[in-house]
Amino acid sequence: MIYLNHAASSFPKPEPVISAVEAALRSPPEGEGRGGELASASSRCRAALAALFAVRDPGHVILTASATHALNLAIHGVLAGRPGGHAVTSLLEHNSLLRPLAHAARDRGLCTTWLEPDPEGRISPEAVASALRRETRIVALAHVSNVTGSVQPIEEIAAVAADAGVPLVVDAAQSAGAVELAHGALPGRGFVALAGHKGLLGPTGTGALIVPDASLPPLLTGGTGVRSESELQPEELPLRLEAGTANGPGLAGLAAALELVLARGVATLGARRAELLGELRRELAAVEGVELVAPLPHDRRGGLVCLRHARHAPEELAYLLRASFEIVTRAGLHCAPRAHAWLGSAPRGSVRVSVGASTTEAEVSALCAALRRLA
Amino acid sequence: MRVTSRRKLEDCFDRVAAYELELDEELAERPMRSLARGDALDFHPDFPRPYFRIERRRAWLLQGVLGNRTIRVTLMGEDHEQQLAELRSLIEQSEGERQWQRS
Repeated sequence: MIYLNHAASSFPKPEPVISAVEAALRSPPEGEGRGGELASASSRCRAALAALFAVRDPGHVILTASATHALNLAIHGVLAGRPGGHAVTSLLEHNSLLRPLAHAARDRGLCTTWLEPDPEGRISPEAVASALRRETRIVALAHVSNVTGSVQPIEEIAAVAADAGVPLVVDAAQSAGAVELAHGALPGRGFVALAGHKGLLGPTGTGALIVPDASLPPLLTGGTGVRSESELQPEELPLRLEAGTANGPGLAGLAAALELVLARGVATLGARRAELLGELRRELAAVEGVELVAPLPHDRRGGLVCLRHARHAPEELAYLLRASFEIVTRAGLHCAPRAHAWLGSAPRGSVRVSVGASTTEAEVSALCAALRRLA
Repeated sequence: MRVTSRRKLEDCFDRVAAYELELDEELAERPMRSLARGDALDFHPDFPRPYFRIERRRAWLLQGVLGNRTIRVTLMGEDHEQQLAELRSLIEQSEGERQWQRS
């Protein structure tokens, strides 16, 4: 099988990740209290994520079930307390960011400005600056679009948001593990949400939110294993934002994955993605019947491209590739309906091809060879 | 040939009602052609796994590969249950390979 669906989840997982998950499942889940292997896996994840994202205090790395969980924690937390206000986001966002904003609009009267990207899918800091209002309470953007693959200039956007005193929520689901981002160097109040199972190579059911301070209210309250005498959630991080028994096997796998990513280096992994995407683009350009849904961005570390075929609808094409050629891609709207509407590919969407740490040039060529046979 | 089970596909097929139908035998060329009778057949025996596509206008699209025990169906109409029942009946009336070998 040729797996070109890394933007959904990385596959195959590295052997040390599989071994770590298996070992965790075969071990007693907890020592006395909540110590033992689980605490060790959590600490290793926090330490590794702090190193990857230049976080000053590993306690500011909140372990979550997914990037979606992290985004809900950040967005609902930033907007908590008073109704109304204004948000700045873009047309490229995933539903994990769109829907929390939409619920805040419906339930609390939040007003949203949807920024239109430039033809390469880039949101300029100037566009963010001009959208800001006195009542703006949040800027929320993906670092890398899961439809165009475009990489946003998050550091410059963070400076704009910081100048206005507005918190910035970054959806780093697609960028984590491929595009470097130093949380510690972001000016202002930056929140970074990430998934553990995509570019970070860990198991599904893992993610994190990096927070600048302890100001967010908890989304979930419950057991923490310590301060049990308190009726309310403890105030200090990370306990304030983590409740309930953690995903021990998932965190054990994530810790192993993060250590691999640290060893290989995000810059190296990102450069490899960009190289493969360049190769894919060169080959696709010569395939009759294939049309790219968005121009390939100048910065190719996003590692993905969306395409349509003259003779096959997206979901038909994805099935054909999988069933006959054993090539796995992803069809549909990719949970980013506004992005596809902007690109003109709604309502059927497109076929997304995404490369990852395990992808080879031969696999990219095999996809293009398969597409040539469909002309 | 019988349909032994059906499974709705929920994996990011936006605005598309798609099902996977499981058959009681591997699909061979003869029953596939029988299934396509009167409809538009697109057959690629030269693909790594022989691929077919059968389209009944405004009703359904069947996709599969020979040798598999499953067929993917995309429904285009409104009443999915009725369409699935009609399709099931069509598949079960089509001449399965085992049936053909017996006759």
